[in-house]
Amino acid sequence: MKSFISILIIVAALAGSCKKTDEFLTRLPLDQLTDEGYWTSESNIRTFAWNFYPNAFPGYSAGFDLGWGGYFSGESLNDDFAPTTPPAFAQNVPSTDSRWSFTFIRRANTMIARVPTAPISEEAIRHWTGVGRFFRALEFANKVKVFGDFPWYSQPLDETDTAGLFKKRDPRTLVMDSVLADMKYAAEHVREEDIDPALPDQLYVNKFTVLAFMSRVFLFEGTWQKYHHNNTAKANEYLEAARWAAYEVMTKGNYSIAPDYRKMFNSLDLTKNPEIILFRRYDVGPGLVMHSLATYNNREPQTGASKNLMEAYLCDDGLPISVSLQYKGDKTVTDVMTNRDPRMYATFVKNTLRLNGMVNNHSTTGYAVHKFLNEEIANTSEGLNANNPTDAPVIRFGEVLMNYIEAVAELGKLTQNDLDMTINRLRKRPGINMPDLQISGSGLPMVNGVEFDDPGRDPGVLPILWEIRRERRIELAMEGFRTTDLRRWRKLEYADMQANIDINRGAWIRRADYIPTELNVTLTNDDEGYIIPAPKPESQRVLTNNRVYLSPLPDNQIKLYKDNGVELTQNEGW
Amino acid sequence: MRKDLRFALLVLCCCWCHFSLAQTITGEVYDKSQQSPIPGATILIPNTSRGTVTGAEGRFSIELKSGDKYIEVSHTGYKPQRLAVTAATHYRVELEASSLDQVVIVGYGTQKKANLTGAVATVDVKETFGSRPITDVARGLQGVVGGLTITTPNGEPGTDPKIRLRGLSGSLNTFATGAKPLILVDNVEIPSLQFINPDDIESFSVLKDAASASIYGTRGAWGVILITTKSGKKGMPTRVTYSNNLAWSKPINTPQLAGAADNAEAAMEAFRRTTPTYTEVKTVGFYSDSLAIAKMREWDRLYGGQDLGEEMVYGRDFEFRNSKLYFYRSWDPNKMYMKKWTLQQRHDLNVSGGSDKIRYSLGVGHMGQHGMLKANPDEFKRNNVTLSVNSTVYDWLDVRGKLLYSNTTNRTPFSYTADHYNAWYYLYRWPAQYPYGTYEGKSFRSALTEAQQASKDNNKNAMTRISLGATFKLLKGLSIDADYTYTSTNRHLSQTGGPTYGYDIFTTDSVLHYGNYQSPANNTARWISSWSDMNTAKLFATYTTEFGDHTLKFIAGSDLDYYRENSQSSERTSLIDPSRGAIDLTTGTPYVDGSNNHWSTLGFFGRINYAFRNRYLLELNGRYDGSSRFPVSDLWGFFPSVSAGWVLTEEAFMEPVTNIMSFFKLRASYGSVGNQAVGEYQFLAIMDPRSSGWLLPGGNAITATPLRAVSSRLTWETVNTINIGADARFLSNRLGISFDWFQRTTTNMLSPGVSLPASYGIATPKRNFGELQGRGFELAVDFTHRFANGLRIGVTGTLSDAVEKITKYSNTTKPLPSQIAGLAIANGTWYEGMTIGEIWGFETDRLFQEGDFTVDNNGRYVLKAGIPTQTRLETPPNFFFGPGDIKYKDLNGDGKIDFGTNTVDSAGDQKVIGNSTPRFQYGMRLNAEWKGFDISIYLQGVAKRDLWASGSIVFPGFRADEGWFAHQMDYWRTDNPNAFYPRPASYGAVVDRWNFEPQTRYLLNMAYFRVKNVNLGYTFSNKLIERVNLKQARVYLSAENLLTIDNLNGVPLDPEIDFTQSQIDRDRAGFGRTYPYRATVSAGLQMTF
Repeated sequence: MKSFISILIIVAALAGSCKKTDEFLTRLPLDQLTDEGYWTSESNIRTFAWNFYPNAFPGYSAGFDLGWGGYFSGESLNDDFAPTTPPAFAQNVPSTDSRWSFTFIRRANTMIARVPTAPISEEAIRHWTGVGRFFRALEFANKVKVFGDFPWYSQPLDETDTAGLFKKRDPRTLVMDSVLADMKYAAEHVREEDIDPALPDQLYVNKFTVLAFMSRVFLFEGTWQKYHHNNTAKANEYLEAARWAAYEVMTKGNYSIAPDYRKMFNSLDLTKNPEIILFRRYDVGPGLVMHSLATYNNREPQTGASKNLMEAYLCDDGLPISVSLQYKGDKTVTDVMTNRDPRMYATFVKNTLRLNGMVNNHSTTGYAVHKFLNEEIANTSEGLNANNPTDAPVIRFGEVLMNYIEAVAELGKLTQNDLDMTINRLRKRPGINMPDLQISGSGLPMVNGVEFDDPGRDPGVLPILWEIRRERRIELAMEGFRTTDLRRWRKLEYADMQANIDINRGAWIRRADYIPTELNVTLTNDDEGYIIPAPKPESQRVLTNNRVYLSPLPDNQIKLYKDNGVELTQNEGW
Repeated sequence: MRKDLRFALLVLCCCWCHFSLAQTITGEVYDKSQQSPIPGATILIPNTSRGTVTGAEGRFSIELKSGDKYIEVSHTGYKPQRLAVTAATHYRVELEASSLDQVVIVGYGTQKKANLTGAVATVDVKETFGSRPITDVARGLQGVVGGLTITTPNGEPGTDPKIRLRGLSGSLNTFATGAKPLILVDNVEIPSLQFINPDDIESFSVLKDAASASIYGTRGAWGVILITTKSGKKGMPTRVTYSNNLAWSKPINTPQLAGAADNAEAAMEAFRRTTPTYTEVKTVGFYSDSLAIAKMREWDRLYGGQDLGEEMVYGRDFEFRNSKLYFYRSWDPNKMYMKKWTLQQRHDLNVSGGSDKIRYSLGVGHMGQHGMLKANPDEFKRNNVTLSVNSTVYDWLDVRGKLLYSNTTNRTPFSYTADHYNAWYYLYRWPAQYPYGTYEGKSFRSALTEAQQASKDNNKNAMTRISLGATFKLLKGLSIDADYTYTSTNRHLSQTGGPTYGYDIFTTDSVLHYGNYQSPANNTARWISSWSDMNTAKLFATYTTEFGDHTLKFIAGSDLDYYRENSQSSERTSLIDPSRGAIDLTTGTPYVDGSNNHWSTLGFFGRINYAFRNRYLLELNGRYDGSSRFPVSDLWGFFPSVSAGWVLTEEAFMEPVTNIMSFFKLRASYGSVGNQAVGEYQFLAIMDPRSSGWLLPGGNAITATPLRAVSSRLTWETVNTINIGADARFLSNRLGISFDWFQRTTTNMLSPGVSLPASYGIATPKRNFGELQGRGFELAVDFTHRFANGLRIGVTGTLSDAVEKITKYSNTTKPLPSQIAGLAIANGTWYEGMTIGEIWGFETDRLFQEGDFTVDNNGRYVLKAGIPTQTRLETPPNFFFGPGDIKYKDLNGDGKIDFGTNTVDSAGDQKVIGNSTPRFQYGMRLNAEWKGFDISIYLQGVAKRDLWASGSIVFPGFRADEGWFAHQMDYWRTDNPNAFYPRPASYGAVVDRWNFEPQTRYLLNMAYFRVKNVNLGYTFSNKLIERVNLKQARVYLSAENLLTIDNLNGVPLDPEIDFTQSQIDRDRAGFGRTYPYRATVSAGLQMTF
């Protein structure tokens, strides 16, 4: 009994000490951080900044993503690719659209708002604010590219801020002016070096990454303003920004033309490549990231390049096939690939057609791409499936040169010196060695002092601009630019397969040269002719409405705004 | 442990009886109907503290003092009897079995069944788990308890079924777990029922309503399952029982592939829709064309059904033509991958006994199950030891100790692919000609080859639990219980990857490439460990008093839990020797990960039970609860509940009917419980560390991602339950009916308070805003009768149903919910008024026929005038509707089939076509016993459940170049216009489009009726076995899943199947391609020494 009482006392004492129950019940996370208390050091801010990278710089994407970050046929709605079932222009207003997303805008705004509160130097605050503003600018530029007018936000929204949340779309020039301000700030304040000096410069956003992207973004917007809105003032302002940013990279950045064109796309390590401004790294191993683009240049069937693209390559005398005496015609693949711009051989498998029915890894047009294939690992498991570890260029000096020259040309200030600083540098790349592009006094393109004008030129495009656009198409082939370029030039009609039938044609073949019973292609004539990858008329893409230059806004957001008494205007024609 | 054993043995040797001399009476206590002795019955002399218990043969002796007029004989489950003391010195007492006098384990105590006021169900442990070849407790529970839903995603050994009570979700924040009741073993939570040996269970009750469960507070929001394990009984002599079960299982309802030629033809049809010139189907690296189809048919004709061995012959079974690879021979992957029969065994040994002062029980069990895999046999094992000792140290002090140790081992071949694309996914992925044989003695790349060459994963889980407790009996009627339990779990999974050698036919180019085709990332040694500690302390006082006709019972106490878990995984690539998977025998890049988590709860509770003449019953509960799941400002909540009962048969006015209706009670309860199962740290703006996907030279850059925006005040979700029930017994208690109706409303549910536009940029912060309401009923019936000739028959049955609706939710756009919203609660879209699990889709009219179209100049089919157009469902240029395709019904009569805006208010021609919640679940057991023979048949089923599934098994053409299934060959052709399936098309793995828009025609009807178990036993007569010193012996045959009736229309699925969690989370294409369910036959022996 006595012992019972003593136990009772002990128990009572224990219960009494439980006054600190709230303490017992407070269990903060052991392996997670909280917003409050996160923004305390440069290293934490840098950790946060990695959030943006794979989204902003997908490279070759990851795993079995057959979009490959937009590379190769990941973006095939254009005149470069000839698929069997070509993607059509958008036809309906979707109820939801994952691109109408503000996730990274909010993250960027959160970063921009929090960085100044961190106990770090003023210079560091400016640097990290610049990084945040760079990602915000990129994100908004992408939204404007897709949707046109778009609501601009410079701060993370509060859930009670109804006016802000249901804000109407801002005019695209307002958004792009803000993007320009962000880019300028970033270009001024983002450092050239990461806080970890050992980290390769091409793996993080530095001053020159900002400038390079600035040239890309404002070349787009400048030409858009020019060709879609005829707004000369804004067009010139943006084109000048693109020109300036490119020029800064060209004159202050320590970049040069890589000695091997293909090695920018199929290398296991791009760290030492002098042309790469930013790349996405891939590596094999648990917890690491691999892609499948090289695999699709390897033993897989692929969407082939169109006859139209093959014909865009110059002959090695610097002249278009329409005027060059070097051109052998297209009746055999060897003829097609004789005396041509060597970038053709770096991009396509030389002198070999891969035909459906004859080989496993056929191409829809016969012309097979090997730009992204690394032959050394082609037969190992790293070269197959989704195990590819080749690094992906995200932005390279070659593109910056092309941005510069196009901006200058669009500004009407083109000189021979500009061509020599850009296109002619690319043409002098070892292994390419194409003749210089010159401009005559009358503004016509010249090679070796002889003027020429491509009869295949779109009459709506000036001859010299036509050649600059050709150079861009060739230099950056399969790098995901073409569709965007057609959109900003207001030239989506090039992607209409019935107006422009060459984009639905492949190699010219004779059935009898192969095993006719096995050959699985449709030709323009029964026995011989061009391959027609998409023979069914209803499969062919046609441009019926110019509304497709902008994507429709998703219905669910329009309705939500309407329920809250605000009109979220749909794009024209949708 | 060893000491404890010795102590128990010492106890065994103690003698429990000591006779007095004067006025001693003796007696025997028998079961009235069985005429068998009752050991452990209590003999009490009223108004004294003197008493005794009966021994092994039901015998007792007790010393009487002058003035003792009566003795009272009682035993759990029997009606007590009071006998007048006469001159006789020997008494024979016959007790009448009565389920109303069963004592039921309830929260922090026991209650006589007749006096229950809440919704509490008990499980007949012996019938449910006794002689069935089941490997875990949960699987045995299907259909046994009304309101309890037990589902399994596949038949894989060692996986935990999902257990949910009274509806699936409870709250939208319970995520994948759903409305899972708190499972307590000996009053302390158990991490997994796998750790419990069914043979160790003594009692099993389920507390369903708030009034019954609320005393457990926060984590018992969705009810409580109370399991007690065996312990020794007072006055029970040493008893040794041994039982075993040997079982043989075979896979059932496995997917059956179509023949290779049929498959290729269907695939060709599908591709020709878009490309009429299509001449060959390419599947990974090999082809089928019309010549190949002819050769496949030839092969079937010449060799079909013959055993040609595994070696393949070039030219006959496969060949290269024009540098392309063709296979002609059909294989049955099921036969190659799985055994016909596989063995499983259980052995259980229990020693128990007790005296006045000390009781003990020791149980040892082993369960070993061989898996289905033939190539590299998998296995699942469980070993467990349970020891329980109770001692009465003083009159006022009982102490107890319990030790529970259990470990499970699961050994399976290493999987080179993620869980949702595991070996089963690949096994059923390819057409029948996919080569499972060898060529020149070497294998081809396949799921089979991988399994054959793989090392085995070793997954070992162990749980150790130590409980110490004491009961203080200070005053008459007052006792204080203090208990502390420490539970520790450990899991160690070791995995060794390595190469797989085979001809890689995924990527061939004119020759067979033989070699290792696995990613170097799989050439790895990996250890994953996790461990947890749970500390549980309980302290409570119970006071019982009676005055006059009033009985009162008070309980007040407090309990607390502190839980912490940690995990880590480490691995490194480049094995030096693939046969030796040790991390220090690797040379590659290391990769590590880990996690830590903890939580705590603390609560104070009180309960008052009041009974007036066992006629009017009242129970009040209150609980003041704190949980670390909530912010410091909102840690605490108070949750009261009340329940009442009225036993009408105790009323005088019911007298005239009591000869028919022997017992009738009405019950009602209302109460609230806090729910803390709302996810972790909902109240904090978490910056979650995770891999960014951006590789730096040192590895994947870690970033911190903002998970959510947080509302300033968040607190408990409150679960309010109304329960109305009735219990009735008829015909001298032989027939019983029990019914409960409930309404469970989860208020203050964490949900978005408003719909915010995308511009907010992060998920809308949660508030205590939403409301979800579940309603349903449970019915239980039992009947038992013993005929004069000794034949005893019995029937028990349950039927239950529950439906949940969202009664308050902020969502102004109301987009249609995802088709599997009810399964993947975390992935769904909800709106106010939505029934959980509802499936939206079109109503199917029929298949289009040629007569519905005209053909235009381009050769395209044009619908005749007057037929609603389906253009909106087409995808130019890949798919246009034509003959043989699905004709949907124009429900809104606007002349076109469309989705509207895919919202509830504008759903076009869509409507609710079904619901994935299992409805009207039932179970029924029939048993009979005669002269030692017994038979029991257990039937179980679900009367209504729909599923809109996904993947190639349910949708022909899902990936047209891959495997089609035998049942899908009934597709539309001009010569088969009344087919079940439409004209083939290639869906490119995109679900829910064209002919397979969610619709009534292909909605799976998952209702089923199953003969779950048939059990035939014989108990040897005592005379026969006494000679070999046995007290009891029974042999039996038992079979599981003997017969199934389903409505799947030939789709080769088990009707119990569900999406696995990894399929829900990732890719749903693998639905049905999982470990098979099994049918089992077994034999067993049960002996008591």
